[in-house]
Amino acid sequence: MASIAGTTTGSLANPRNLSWRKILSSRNRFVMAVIIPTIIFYLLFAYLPILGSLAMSFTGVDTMLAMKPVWIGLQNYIQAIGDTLTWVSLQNSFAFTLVSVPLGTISSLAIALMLNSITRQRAVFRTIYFIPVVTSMVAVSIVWKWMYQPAFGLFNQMLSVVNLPELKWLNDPNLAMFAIVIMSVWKSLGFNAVIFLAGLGGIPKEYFEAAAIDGADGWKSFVHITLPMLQSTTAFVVITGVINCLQVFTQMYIMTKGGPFDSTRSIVYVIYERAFVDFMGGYSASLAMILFVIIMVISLFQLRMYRQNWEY
Amino acid sequence: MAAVTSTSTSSRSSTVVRANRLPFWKIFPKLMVYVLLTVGSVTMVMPFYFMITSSFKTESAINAVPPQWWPSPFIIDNYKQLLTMIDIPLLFTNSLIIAVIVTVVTMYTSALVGYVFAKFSFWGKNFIFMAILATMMIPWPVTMVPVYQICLKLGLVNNFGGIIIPSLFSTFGIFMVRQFMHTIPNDLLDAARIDGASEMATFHRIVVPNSMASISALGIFTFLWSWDNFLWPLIVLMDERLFTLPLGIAMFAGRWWTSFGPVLAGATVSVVPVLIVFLIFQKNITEGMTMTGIKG
Repeated sequence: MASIAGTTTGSLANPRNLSWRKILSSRNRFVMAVIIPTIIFYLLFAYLPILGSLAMSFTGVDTMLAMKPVWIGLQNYIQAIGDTLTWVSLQNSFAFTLVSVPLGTISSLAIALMLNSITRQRAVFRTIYFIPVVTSMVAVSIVWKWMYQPAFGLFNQMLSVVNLPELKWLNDPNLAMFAIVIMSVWKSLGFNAVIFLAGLGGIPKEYFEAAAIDGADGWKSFVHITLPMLQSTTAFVVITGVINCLQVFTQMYIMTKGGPFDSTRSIVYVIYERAFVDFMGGYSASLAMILFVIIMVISLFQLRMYRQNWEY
Repeated sequence: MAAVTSTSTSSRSSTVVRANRLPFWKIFPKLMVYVLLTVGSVTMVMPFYFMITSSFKTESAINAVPPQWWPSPFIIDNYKQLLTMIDIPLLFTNSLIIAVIVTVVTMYTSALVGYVFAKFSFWGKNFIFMAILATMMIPWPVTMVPVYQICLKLGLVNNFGGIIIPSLFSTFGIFMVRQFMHTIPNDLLDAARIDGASEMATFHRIVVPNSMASISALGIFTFLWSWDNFLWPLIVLMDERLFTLPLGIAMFAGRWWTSFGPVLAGATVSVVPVLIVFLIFQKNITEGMTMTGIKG
């Protein structure tokens, strides 16, 4: 008789097994030996820090230098809410997200559809589109910063070729964020395209054949078959996209250092600066907590929205 | 209405991407698709092309209008200058050591933990799994300062341990391996146990070889991620001699921004090894990605 590994007969889930001999059986020892360090790790590096951050957000003294923390209650939060930089940086992160995610999702879906429709050379194209994904964000930021140069940069040279005026790109407070958005979308196009490609591969051909028999044209079957079948894939791309975009940091740090005039200072940039440059640990923690709540709310909202759409 | 058999979209083998001919694109000339894809490919590659070629150009050639497509003169002075200003081999080695250790350890722990979650049941299993998965939702700015303090207390600041220890377990890895482990038949494991193999032996001799596909895909992801890791090494490492490559290049670029030649040479140095690893293992990577089973 085939027994399923870890059946209740021998496992710790079965209350009849609480004799010491059974608890310390080889199988259970193995499980404990693996799971217990795992639990300790996650407690130490995930859950304890959350509590620590929460606690720290209520203190005033720089806890980084291990001085005795002073309880100041909600003062950090009040200061954070009153500081215009908090709102500006939140706005920056939101703006970044609101432009990057739709732009990125739609373009990568388009690329995935195109890749899906060809059989030859698909792997070659897929590889090429993936190259920006695997390269270091640091290197990419450096190259794009060079390309965005006002004087001799590639982009302005291209503009002058078609007789358009030069743009100040990263030096223009109104344009800098958008310039970073373009680079970020470019960098993750391939990744999202491959995810969509995998999702497209899971749509049974029969659906399209049935629709064709019923007289549906290309556009109709796209809207009524492809899009609905891609819902969970799209949900994944959008939700992870939003969560990642809200935490954007590296590009700003290398390309603009938050400028010009704080137009590219993301919320995470501010959190980083307050903690490691200004040594205001408690204040930084309160900002981080605010961000945490925002991300939680948005993620739950998105999950609920997508869950409702999954019945088809 | 034609009978449509609903195919299960779960558990796919490694040959995933089928040739679904979407009727919409049949109308559109196939040629147009190839053209668009090629144009897209050029935009993907163009920045890197200029990065690499510019690293061999003189300063004036880099800023030439119109841009030089091939360096003339072709010089390696930028690299020479780069090497005198920062110790590339050292940075490279640092990054390599960290990446290799993190990758190997993560592969092993993810395999072990993924295996246990997939094939065993124990008290609180679902709760613990959900709790681990939930950590993926925590924005890292929330944990970075306390984790830094914990590392401070454990003496892990300003050394490689501070980067390696917090990366011991990978939630993504555990999740990915667990998904895959479900496909290993239980009979196989029972047979080994009946033959008297201990749990560890079963793991090493049967489970691991059978899940190498997902473990190696995970390994490659982890390696690439570790190489690119910027913020945490920025926080944890203070001694310049311990810096990782991205960190060193970023610092260098920050200080010597106006000398594009060496800066672009630095960027090239940090990109080319990764690119080579990727091109060698790309089949593994894209298969691994489709294996994570992003499905309904």
